[in-house]
Amino acid sequence: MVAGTGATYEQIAAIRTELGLDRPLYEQYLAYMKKVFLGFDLGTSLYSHRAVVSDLLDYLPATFELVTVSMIMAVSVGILLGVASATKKDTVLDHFIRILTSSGLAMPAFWLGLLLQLLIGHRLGILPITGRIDAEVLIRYPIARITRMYLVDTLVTGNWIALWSATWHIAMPATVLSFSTLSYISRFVRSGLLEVLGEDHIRALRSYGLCERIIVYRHALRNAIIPTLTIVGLRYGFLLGGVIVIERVFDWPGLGLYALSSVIYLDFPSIIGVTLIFALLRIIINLLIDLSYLFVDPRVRV
Amino acid sequence: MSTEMANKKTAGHFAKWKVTANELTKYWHVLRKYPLTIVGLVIVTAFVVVGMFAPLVIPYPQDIGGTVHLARSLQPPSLEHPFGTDDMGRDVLSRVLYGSRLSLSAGMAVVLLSSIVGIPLGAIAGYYGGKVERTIMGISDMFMGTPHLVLAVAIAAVLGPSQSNAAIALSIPWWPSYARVIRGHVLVLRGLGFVEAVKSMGASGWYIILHHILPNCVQLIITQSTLQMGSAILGIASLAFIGMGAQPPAPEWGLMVSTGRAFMTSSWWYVTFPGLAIFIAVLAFNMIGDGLRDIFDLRLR
Repeated sequence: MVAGTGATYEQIAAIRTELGLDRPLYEQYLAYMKKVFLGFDLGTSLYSHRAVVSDLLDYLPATFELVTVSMIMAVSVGILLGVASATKKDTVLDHFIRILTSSGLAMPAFWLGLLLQLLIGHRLGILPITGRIDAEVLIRYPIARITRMYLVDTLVTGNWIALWSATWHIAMPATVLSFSTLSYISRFVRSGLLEVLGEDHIRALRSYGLCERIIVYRHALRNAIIPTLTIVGLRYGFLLGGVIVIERVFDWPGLGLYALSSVIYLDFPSIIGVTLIFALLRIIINLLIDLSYLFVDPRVRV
Repeated sequence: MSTEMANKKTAGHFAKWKVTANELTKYWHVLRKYPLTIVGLVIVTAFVVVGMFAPLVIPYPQDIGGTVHLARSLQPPSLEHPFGTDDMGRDVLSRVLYGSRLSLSAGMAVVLLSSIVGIPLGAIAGYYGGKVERTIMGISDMFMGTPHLVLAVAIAAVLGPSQSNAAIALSIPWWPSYARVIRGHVLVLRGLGFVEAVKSMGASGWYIILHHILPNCVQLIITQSTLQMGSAILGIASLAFIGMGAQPPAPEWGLMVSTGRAFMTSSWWYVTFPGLAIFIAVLAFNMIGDGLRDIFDLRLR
């Protein structure tokens, strides 16, 4: 496969020795693991002939930026909608939010993405359809390569025009990616909050004459948010998976597109590398979330 | 004497039927309070019926394959073609209707495969505990660690992209969610009096799991499977959309959206209707699942 279809037996044999395919399977596996853990070396891509690690580092920032922005959107909007839905239970607003969130859970992300591209991008021309930034802006206002996350880099260097363009470009993919997680969080906050609001300590606060907003945001939400944090961790993995589809729809040059192209070329070192880095990202996020319990839940601090 | 016995027997049979009839009316009385669940049930039944009798129901049965009628390609929705036609001049409505057969069967395959693996493992882990539990849950954590779709894409790549391989590829990262839910439930059941009682009578672990634990998990399994069915249909469609599932000219919903993308700006109907079918099918399964969860009074996750 690497040598091409017209390769001679000698060429194939040479490549087999070069890639170590002539050794037994367990030896290959051990050698691979040794390289991964000791040298942070994921091997060489069969397609681009570059080290998989440097390929991954090229594509990771774009994906990380997209996923983080949509996670922030999902958490903030999701909590807001959940609170609104719970405090205004059984009103028109509540029903509207519940219809919105049930559709969010059922809607295929790629379909929503295409429809938005068609309506907002193409017919109305408000938001750009694909890519991370305008090519023209990128040429006239080059972006410093610090983190390679356009939003961060432009913000740090004060490159406002590029920041503006990057923000417009990320708006649609991030919204689409966050929609299902937003719905999930909103429903979770709603049910959690409704449960907490029925409890005795909330009734006590009400009898003290505390303003309803303080009761909800400072006392009730605190209790409802702890299970929500767990969900955020679970959904982060879901977002990472969704990235493959979303990047395909919006031509976002990130890990998802890289994963797809390596899958199409059957570039196994890259496939394994991408899978590992996705797993690593999830583990890091889960760790961060476990740590964040410390801030939210005083019981854990003991 | 013998006729008397026969009479008794038939009476017994009738009594049995009566009970189920009573139960049916009981279910109906409960269901009536959940209109959304009924709507979901109706929609799912419609999809199942259409899927089963697809070749008989659809207006242009020859269009489900790779036929080409260039004369009527990319026509907007009309009375003849309510959902318009695609780039090959095939009727989109026929293909969408036939697609429900593909999507539902693939979704069912994912749910069946992952429950066959997940339910026994979850029950064993929950009942025996200790080393067995740690091993099983450790393996399931390994699968949970990687995002489902990423793992599914990697597996689909190894197996080669096709509809059935997509179902297999989705089931492999999927079973741990069954194992986890079942294990959580079994942990509760294990401590209950009736299990202790059977154990004290000398029943073996297998006997208890099969005859006393699993029957108590049925409601949970039904609800979980309904909810999973929706996500499975979404997953199958997503895999097809990125080219890792069904291959053209199969009338798979995700695949149709994917091919329609190229003609999106000129022919909106080509991407809209297959996607709408996915949306409605998943929504219907979710509505049933949510209702069942409330009816059975389960707290999943």
